[in-house]
Amino acid sequence: MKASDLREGTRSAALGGWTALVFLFVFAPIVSTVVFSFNADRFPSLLQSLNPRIAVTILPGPGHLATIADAGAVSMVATMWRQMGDQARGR
Amino acid sequence: MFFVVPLGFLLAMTFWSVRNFRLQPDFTLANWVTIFKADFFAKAFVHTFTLSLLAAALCSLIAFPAAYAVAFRAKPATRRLLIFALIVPFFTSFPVRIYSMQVFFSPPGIINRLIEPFGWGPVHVLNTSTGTVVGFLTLTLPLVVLLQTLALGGIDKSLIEASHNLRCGRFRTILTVIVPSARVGLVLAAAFAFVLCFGDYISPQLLGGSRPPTLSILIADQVKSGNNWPRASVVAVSMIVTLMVVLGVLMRIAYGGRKAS
Repeated sequence: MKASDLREGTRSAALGGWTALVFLFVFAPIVSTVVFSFNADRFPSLLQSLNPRIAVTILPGPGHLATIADAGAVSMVATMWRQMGDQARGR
Repeated sequence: MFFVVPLGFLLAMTFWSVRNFRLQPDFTLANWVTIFKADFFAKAFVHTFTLSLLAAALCSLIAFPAAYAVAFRAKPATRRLLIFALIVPFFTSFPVRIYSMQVFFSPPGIINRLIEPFGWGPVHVLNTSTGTVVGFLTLTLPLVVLLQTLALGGIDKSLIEASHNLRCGRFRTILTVIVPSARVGLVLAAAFAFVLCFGDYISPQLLGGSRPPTLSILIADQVKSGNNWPRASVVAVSMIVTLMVVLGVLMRIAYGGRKAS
């Protein structure tokens, strides 16, 4: 085998390897998502450290309290609350 | 209208004020003065700009050999398959992909488990700027490879053959023939990467741990703490202006020296 052929082969292998690594990086999160969707309970040590830390804002500011202070809104919320309680108790 | 009206509203809102946590139509420059005098804004701006620039450059460099291989080395059927494969990541939600990256880079994660037998690590990527850059690469790499592949695919192959016939080496051909021929596509790919990274909220929040905060996190914080939409609008408008300047510079680089046909 000629030295130039060997160099060309090495270059092609390096280029192919690099491309494979790029595609691995792109697809690794997707593949792992698919795998974990079936087997999450088999990898507790990997997943337990994750903390999504999604901030949930129920009342972004006192401006939203105006909704609660409105008499109609208060009665509506109270009615909904009572109905949900009744449903939970199986009435 | 679809784009201009919201932008106009955003600009108008920068002059409004907030009283008792309520938005009041007003005309005051206080929001601009407060934000531009604030030390945290300058720090967040520099941090966001630097990380986005680094990620765009890194992404372009990482993507180029892969795009070269797909455009010039792959058989036509394989090329079509690989181009389709580069579109697939956009089918999945970006936050889901980022959560998946947390699995890889968390302290007891896959990467640390893989390198542990060799006596390396543990590597700490989560909640650092490196984590943010990894997130930026997750976001932009498929798009940049795709755009670069399309740009390289449009090059006249006879130019490359001529270069080889004239005994021009492989790297010299890349630098003097391929890159200048595909300059517009390559610069546009880098521009897209920069724009996406500059406005990304998910990566700095979930992989970077908001330390230090980026401009998008600053916007969210301004809104969450006290409903301060006007100050958030000031940050947003500064981001838009910055992006316009950067895009202007990049377009000049892309199309500079070309005659309009």
